Amino acid sequence: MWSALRSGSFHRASSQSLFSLGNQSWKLGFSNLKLSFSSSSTTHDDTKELLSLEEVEKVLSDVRADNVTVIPVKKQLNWADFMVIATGRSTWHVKNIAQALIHKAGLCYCFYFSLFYIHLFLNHYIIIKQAKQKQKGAERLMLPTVEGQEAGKWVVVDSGKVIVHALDEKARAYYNLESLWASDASQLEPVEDLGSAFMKVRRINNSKRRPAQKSV
Amino acid sequence: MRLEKCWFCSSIVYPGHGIQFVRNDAKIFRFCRSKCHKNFKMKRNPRKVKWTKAYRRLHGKDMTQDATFEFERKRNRPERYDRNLAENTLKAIKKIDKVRSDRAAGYIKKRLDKDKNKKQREAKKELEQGINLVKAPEAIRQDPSLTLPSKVKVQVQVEEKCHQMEE
Amino acid sequence: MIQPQTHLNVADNSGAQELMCIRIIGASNRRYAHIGDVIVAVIKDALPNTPLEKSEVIRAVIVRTCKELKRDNGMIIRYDDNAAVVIDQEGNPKGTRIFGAIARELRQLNFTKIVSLAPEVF
Repeated sequence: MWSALRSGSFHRASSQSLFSLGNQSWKLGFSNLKLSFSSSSTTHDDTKELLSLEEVEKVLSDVRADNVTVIPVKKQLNWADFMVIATGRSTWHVKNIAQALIHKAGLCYCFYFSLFYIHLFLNHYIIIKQAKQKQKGAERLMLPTVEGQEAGKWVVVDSGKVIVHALDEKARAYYNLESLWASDASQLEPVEDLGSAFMKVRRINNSKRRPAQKSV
Repeated sequence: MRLEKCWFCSSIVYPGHGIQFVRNDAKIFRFCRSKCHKNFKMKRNPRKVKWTKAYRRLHGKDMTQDATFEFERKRNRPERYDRNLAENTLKAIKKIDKVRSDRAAGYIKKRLDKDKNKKQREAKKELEQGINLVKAPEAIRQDPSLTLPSKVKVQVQVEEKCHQMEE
Repeated sequence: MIQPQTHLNVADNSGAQELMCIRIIGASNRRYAHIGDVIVAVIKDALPNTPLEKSEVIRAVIVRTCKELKRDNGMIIRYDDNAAVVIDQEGNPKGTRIFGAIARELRQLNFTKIVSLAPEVF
């Protein structure tokens, strides 16, 4: 599995180099669009977000994405804070929305990039040392990741805590993402104590009988 | 770094140890070692398995209520690093640990003290009945130069008592 | 550890009920597929009146395995069953909802769509 991941990341990042500043480590990579740089910090939890919510909203309004919905999902999901859903009028438009976001992320990155260049001279040896060590854990998240860029029906731009979904109208109606998070108020239960936890729960029945019952 | 509790035996699961099982309804079961994991797979109830904390608590073998348990709590917000706080915490850990173990030991001692009299009575009875195994009754009667039965009894009884006190 | 002939449950509402793996994609000579791998599968069992039918060949992503999954931080995770999510050639899920807990690794493997449809991520 990791090999697949690595090959995926290499595909996106044709050239990789690592820089570090303080306790943060950064991974730079040219995406297949030659526009975006990606970065990630050491853990998932404090993933540095490349795109803030305001930036995303601004970009989306610039490219005239329809029907933009922002859903705070921090309570429901433990891996993201905000879901942004936008509709594109055509597949071309959907792709364009995604590209605009990546471009924006890339621009943000230029600032950091220049900063690190200065540091590169200062901490040359240390950086080389650390870069070697860091490459072992290559399965870190590369941000922002883009998914579905080729098809253009549903493009997801994953920039850490903000996930942007750009869909065409059909796909939006089909997947109905708003209802999934807006209505889903089920929160993670607090960890039960041992007494209440011990109850026999049968596996979800995926056996062959179910269709027969439903068809009757 | 988070120290979890084993679902089966309630011991601490340190990072990198044990295994987690995620049921389809997203309930997580953490196990400290394969022993606990295997017992879970055998569908054993930790309340009925004698070596688990759950059993001991349930059957009054261990303390269930104590102020020292209140120190340990699950927090989802990471604490901001503060040097003084960290130092004090490190000092406090030792002290709290000591208090906790002392109280646990005290509890067990108290629990065992309760049937001390009963144990002594049982020991006395066993001695009276079993003295014949040490020395045949005929031999005692025939050879009074040996210790007198009554004397023997008293002596051994004293010994036994002393022995118990030591324990 | 999914290999050809392994039967998997379906963790979405695409209509398929049971799959059988017939090929692992992205590996010429690999024996087993793990969480996050794409497989080619045959639908062994499907709900009636759904777009997917029995004996149809589809692609699917593995989301849960009984075999333990090891993470970098030393965590070892095991799931209840072997389960997959049906996807199309472009990587869009066929179903609109996903059932049960799924692994966090899927997000890093660029299956954010599946992750964002799932109710629980571990």
